[in-house]
Amino acid sequence: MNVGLRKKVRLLRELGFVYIDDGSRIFRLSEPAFESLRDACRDTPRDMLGRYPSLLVSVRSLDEAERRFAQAEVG
Amino acid sequence: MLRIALVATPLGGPSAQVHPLGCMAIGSFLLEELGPHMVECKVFNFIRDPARALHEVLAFAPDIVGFPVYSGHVEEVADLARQVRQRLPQVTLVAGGPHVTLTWLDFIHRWGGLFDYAVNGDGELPLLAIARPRLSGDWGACHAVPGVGRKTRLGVAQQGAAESLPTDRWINPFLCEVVTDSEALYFSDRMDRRRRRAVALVSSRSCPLKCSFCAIIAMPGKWRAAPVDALLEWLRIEWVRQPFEHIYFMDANYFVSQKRVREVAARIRELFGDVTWSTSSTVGYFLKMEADLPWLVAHGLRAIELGLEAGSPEQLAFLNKHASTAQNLRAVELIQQHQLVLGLDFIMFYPDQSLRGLIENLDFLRQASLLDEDYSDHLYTALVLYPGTPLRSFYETRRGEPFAPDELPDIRDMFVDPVVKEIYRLFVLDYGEHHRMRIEGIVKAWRGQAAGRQLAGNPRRAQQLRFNAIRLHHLPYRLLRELTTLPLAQLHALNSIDDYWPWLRNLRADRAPVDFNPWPATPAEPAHVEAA
Repeated sequence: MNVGLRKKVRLLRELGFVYIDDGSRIFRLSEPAFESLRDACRDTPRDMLGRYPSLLVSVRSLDEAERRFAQAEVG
Repeated sequence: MLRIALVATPLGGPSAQVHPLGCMAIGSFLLEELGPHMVECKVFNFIRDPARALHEVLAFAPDIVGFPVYSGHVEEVADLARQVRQRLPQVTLVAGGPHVTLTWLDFIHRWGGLFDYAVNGDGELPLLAIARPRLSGDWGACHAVPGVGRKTRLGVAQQGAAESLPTDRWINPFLCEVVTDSEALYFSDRMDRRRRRAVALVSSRSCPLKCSFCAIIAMPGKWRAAPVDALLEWLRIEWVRQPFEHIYFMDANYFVSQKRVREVAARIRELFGDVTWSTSSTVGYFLKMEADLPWLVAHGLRAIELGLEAGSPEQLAFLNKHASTAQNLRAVELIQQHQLVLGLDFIMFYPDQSLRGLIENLDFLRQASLLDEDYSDHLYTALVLYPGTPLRSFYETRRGEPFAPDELPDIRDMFVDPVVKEIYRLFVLDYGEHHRMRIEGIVKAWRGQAAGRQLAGNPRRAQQLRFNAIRLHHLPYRLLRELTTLPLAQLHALNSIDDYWPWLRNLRADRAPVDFNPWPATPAEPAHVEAA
């Protein structure tokens, strides 16, 4: 199983933090915490999907998951 | 019947939802001591409208008018006092409060022709001593009371500062009527997502610490606190009179006695159920209660004003703060972990600020995840040299002469480091004066537009606006941080911030760009996870 960001999710990198907008509200993570989240999406996808259903969705491949993270970045 | 008016200051300031607590304490004490059949006491809280204050006070036809005087507002208070004197020639005018206490003898020299009496220290006993002869006509005893000072033909007559009022004589401060034009006091509880009707009171006075900038500890008297039984009884009586849902403990340092904090919290829960509370603390005392925090939050703690003051170790030492940068970080982290509201006391600029210290302050704010706080006052705050403080004396010695007693010196020409001086000019005096309010207004407008677009079914645009608002909210932090990287010659050459960021003046609330990003990428910095 692979998980990636939902298409509506956008990421803003700003002053050492990543602001994650799920389409209705914003969460803030530090850059390292965000990287940990990305790692966790690879390592424990099922667990992450359960924890962040408004941010994550099941995707077909690891490549697609990576692509979605990249595409979500703004600015 | 003797009528006593206690008039809140600073006059002409913003609306004060928290009533003047010192006046309330004194008025209630006089009512209790003299009895409501002998004295009528009222607190007048019309600080945003001095004309209204005058009108209301005159309509009350007082025999005595007391003014708490704060440094920086002496002229406004004197002006009002003059007008009261003109219309009520027989009135006894009394000045007290922090500024009078801190500059007592000078104050009597300067203002003894206008005010009949100037009070030093806790005001209850001196005001009682002044009120009694207005009833009896015997002024001899009044003039022998410590804390009562006056100007005579022979000079200043006084018997030293007032003794601190013993805590077993502290009185329910809600006894005295407050006449006001301010809105009711509320607390916005983010945790429970509701607005709570609130009361404010002081449960302790002074502070055991000796921070070099602090006017509170320059006043007489050690830290002292109302007995817990009495405190809860005052609150119970007020709750019966007008139920409240939140208590602001407006103490200088509420967490001094951990046992007392726990006891009061437990009793509040027992007596008032769902009532919440907030207060202020220095970092050291707050950290001593780290293990209690989950319990305190469960027992109603919702917000803490924290005397952090700096992130720079050099500055913390200069301010005689007995807390390290690491402790400050830990304190903020605890507040964030427990989802408490943080009131941030911070001094960004002081005359001996070094460039390194300024950068350390800014890095601290970032490390502590404090860039998204609603209020950004901490970026602009400059040291205020209150009378009686060690730092005021330090700078008076340096300049070789004292500051004028009623003056709160402007520090713009006092900076030691020319780079910091230029940064202060450009950031506080220029950006702060000419752009800050407008930019904060645009941030608010873009957030509002985002909410509107979300409701209107345009989440993509709402998302853009939310991100734009975040970036714009960070603008002053970025600006200040960037200024610390510029060489002195370049800072000198900038007449204003408009020269540096010319696009700033073109920003408009009704023209939010798709992607507001006028800055290059910045390096990452570690912190922790939380909701924005």
